[in-house]
Amino acid sequence: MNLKANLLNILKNKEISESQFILGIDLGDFASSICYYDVSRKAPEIIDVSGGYGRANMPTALQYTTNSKEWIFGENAILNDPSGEDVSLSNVLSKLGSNFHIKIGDELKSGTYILARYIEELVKNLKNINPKAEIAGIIVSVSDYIADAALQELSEAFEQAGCSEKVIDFVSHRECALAFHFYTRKADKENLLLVDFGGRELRAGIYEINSGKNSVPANILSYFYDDKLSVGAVDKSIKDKFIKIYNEGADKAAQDILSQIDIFFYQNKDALFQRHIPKKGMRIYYNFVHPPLEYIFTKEDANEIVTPFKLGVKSFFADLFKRAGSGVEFGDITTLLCTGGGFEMLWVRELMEDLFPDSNIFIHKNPKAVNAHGAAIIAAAKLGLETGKSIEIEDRLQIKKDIGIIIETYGEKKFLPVIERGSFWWQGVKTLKLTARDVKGGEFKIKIHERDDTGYMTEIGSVSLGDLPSFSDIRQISLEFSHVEPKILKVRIEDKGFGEFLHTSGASGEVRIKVSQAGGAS
Amino acid sequence: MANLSLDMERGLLLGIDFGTTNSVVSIYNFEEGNAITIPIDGSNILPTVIQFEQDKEDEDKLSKVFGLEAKGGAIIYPESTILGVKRLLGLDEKVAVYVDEKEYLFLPEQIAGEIIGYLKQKADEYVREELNIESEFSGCVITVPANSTDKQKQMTKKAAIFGGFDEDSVFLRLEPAAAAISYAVNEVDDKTVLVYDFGGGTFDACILAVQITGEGEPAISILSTYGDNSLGGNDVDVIAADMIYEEFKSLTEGAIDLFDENADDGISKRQKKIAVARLMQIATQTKERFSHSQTAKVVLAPFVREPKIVNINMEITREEFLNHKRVNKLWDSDEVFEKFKGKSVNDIIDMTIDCVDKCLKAAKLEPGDVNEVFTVGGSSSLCNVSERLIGKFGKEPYKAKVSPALSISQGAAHYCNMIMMPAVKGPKVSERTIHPLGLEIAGRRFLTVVEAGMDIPVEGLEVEAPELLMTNFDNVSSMAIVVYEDTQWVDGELKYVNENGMKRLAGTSLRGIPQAPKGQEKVRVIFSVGQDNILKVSAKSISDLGAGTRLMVDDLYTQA
Repeated sequence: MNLKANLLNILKNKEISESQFILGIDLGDFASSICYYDVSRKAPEIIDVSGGYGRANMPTALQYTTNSKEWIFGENAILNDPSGEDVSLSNVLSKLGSNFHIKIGDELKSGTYILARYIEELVKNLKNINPKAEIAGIIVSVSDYIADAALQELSEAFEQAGCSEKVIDFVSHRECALAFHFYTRKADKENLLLVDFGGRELRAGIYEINSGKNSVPANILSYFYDDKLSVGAVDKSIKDKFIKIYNEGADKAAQDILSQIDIFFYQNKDALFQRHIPKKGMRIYYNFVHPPLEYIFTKEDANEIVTPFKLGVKSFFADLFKRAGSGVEFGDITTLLCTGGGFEMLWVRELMEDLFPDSNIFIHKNPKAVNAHGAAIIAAAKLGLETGKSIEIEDRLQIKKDIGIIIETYGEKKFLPVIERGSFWWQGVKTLKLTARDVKGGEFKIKIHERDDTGYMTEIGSVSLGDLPSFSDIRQISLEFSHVEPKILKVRIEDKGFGEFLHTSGASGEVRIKVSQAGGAS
Repeated sequence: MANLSLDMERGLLLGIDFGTTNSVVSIYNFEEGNAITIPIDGSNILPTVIQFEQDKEDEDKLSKVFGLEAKGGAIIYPESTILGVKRLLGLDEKVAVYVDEKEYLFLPEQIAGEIIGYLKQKADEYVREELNIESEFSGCVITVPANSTDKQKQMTKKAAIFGGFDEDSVFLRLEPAAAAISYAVNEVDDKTVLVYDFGGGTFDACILAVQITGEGEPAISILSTYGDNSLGGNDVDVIAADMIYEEFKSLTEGAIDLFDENADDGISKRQKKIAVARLMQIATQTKERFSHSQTAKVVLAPFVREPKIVNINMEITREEFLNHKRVNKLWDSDEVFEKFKGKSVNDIIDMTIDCVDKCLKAAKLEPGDVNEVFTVGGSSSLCNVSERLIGKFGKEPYKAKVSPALSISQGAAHYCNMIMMPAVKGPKVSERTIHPLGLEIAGRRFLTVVEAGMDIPVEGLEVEAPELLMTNFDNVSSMAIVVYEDTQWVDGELKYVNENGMKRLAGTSLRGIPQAPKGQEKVRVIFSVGQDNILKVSAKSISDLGAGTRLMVDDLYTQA
């Protein structure tokens, strides 16, 4: 991602005054955080959007009330039961990059417009700390491997929120998390497992950290994610359980509680899942129905919800280590760094202790805010305030350029991508079926190309089908693309004939090609 | 992980903000030099609520539930759930709790003590499990509103002792001063600050001078304070409840009185209690909604089922909410209703601004002299409060670098550090007396003994009454000693004890005065004020013939 050099020069030459704030923002799927870098304490601090009365982070939720034509945000948007044509949105982030639009009042509004309103509100919290506050610079923490289209829309949202001039850069979650972790720690050779248990996915990466004085060299060994193990998936199970409890416990006059269940869930989840449920259970009250219903929520109820996820998480880590491919085992992890709202749940924290008994486990008291803390540190460093360590991630896992072939259709040659930029080396086999006509006998060769984001193409190798008989009609050729390890692409070509009309010659070929070295983290 | 070094002799001290609606506890982190709020039951704040229930294993016992769980139960179990016990501290009446239709009576300080005990238990667990400290909190700094009466302070202290803290290690400090510390801890310039502390049950305005010492540490002194111990966000909730209840009365044509349990209007006592609890809950939600929105929907469908189904479905605008004049007594006492009858939310905000004016006047300052306005307490986010403060001071109020809900407790944790490690660098607070304290003398006149704003040294302030009290009649052997606090003083003005703002703190008779002609026997009265602003009064007949008599404030209370 490009650094706004001009902005940096301006900011670096300007003394940071008491009313100027260096910000780190993390827009999460479920909750967002805003941190500032406290210049006097030389430490990042979260801006508690709740004023201390609830969660410091702001739920990434908005509501538009048609009657008063106003937006409400965060917790208020969740706790307010919408009516009529009110629009509630709690998944704007997940729609980034899809050119999402929705009707607000009488107008069709874009996802970027809506996100811009949310960003404005999030940044407004800065005024709670200092009414004269101005923004010196912002680093925005974004998903690892965020798609270009999503990043483009996110950038537009900041522009519409009037902050684009202040945005120094967009930096990946993992870079932010590592920046925060190593802010006060020296980088020594070790294996570090970074786990981000977020709203949309459980993501984890194994990093080989090397010694560095002013930098943290990190070589990524394995990276994996699973959306079935997200906080969102856990939340859904909890809500389902709450509905089941009500349906089994309510009298004949039972009401439809679906419209209220999100509020009820929001009010009770933390108390039930952030601590041990006492032996006698914990009472939950469905006070929003009449007559109110009381239920004693027990350990067994909690176990019923979390057990499938525990098993899923165990299997997730087994896969992650299998993919590391360099013999790294569970016991080889020196440091386990945990981020994301999932770590607010006690069972997740306990599971990590069980799985990694010998590792140093770091769970911040506000795991949702780790990335924003790191972003604030990076922002301070970029503005020349801190000599914070730079995070240098060598990432060989993601394919940085499209890989494909050139085909001719209706006389026109064009590039056909087979493996798309942004996918991971371990994401299975991609197969392409080509139809060839009028092929003379002998060697049949297909050239393999890489294409970068500017459209520039480079030939990186070719695959041949030797001893193919001449034919004048059509014949199917199969091409299989897969990676055998991060930088090595295997391409297999095979003559498939044409069904019953033309049997295969049995000719095939295979080649291993070294693809371009992948770039950095972001 | 924080590493807390400790003064082992004193043990750990816990900073407690025991609020009317919510309570917060914090600990001072010696390593980082900051305060950490201890999460309880998954949250930084614990609703100040307790619910009693029959112990399942022992029929003679009651077991207790606290915080969010208890608050949730308030609707189904209104008779065994106590909310807002802080407002009851200092009252002599016992609190009745009904469990399985059996009545139990508690002193307010006992109930408060149970909640403080729970805070202590959870804080002990936290330091043991999260900070790896094998110790427990033996003492605390517990904050009280600046305008608490002496008796309220005493009862707060008693509650902390009931809660399990050592008697000698319970320190009382003022809420706005604690809030100011959390504000001033990062301050780098000399400033005059107004703390606008609008809590659930009380309001305090406090003006502080923050001066940065040569060592770069803030020194805080309280210039003046003014407040109202029965003015808080809860009173705003009642106005919202009043609007909803008016709608209910209109729907039922006044045929049902939810607040008269004995009225024969076809609805059971229990259903009335549940309806009232739901009304309280939705009123609070409605008020909170107006902090960020222009309109609020109120849906209670159904609100009651007996004798017929009544659904409430109304939409209230912010303007209506701010200007609605309260009509109904609802659950308030006669005294409270008298105070707020016909009052609107705007009127309540006016009342707080009036306190601010008096606070400024006492400090001899104009609004323009105040460098920063610092808002504390949940009710300070009430709609229109910021606008009014901007109108008055011409500047937007700060909320806090430390969250307004946590600032008092974190300030209390800083106080813990000052007590445990007085030599260590950090903010310092010069404790001062808040209001003039004195005696009733002949002609119902008020004799000031302790002036407002006197510095209280660490060892305490001792002031002798400027006049010796004399016997008014021949041959009397006792003399009335009545102590007053002047909460609305004006310097140099002659005051009488029956004027507005005079609070009778205590009264008793000093016995054992030798019988003699009037005016011959004299009594010396000494007021002692500790750093916790608790007053002790001793009175002694100075005659050589008379036996020495010494009365401490505790005696005064018991005999009052």
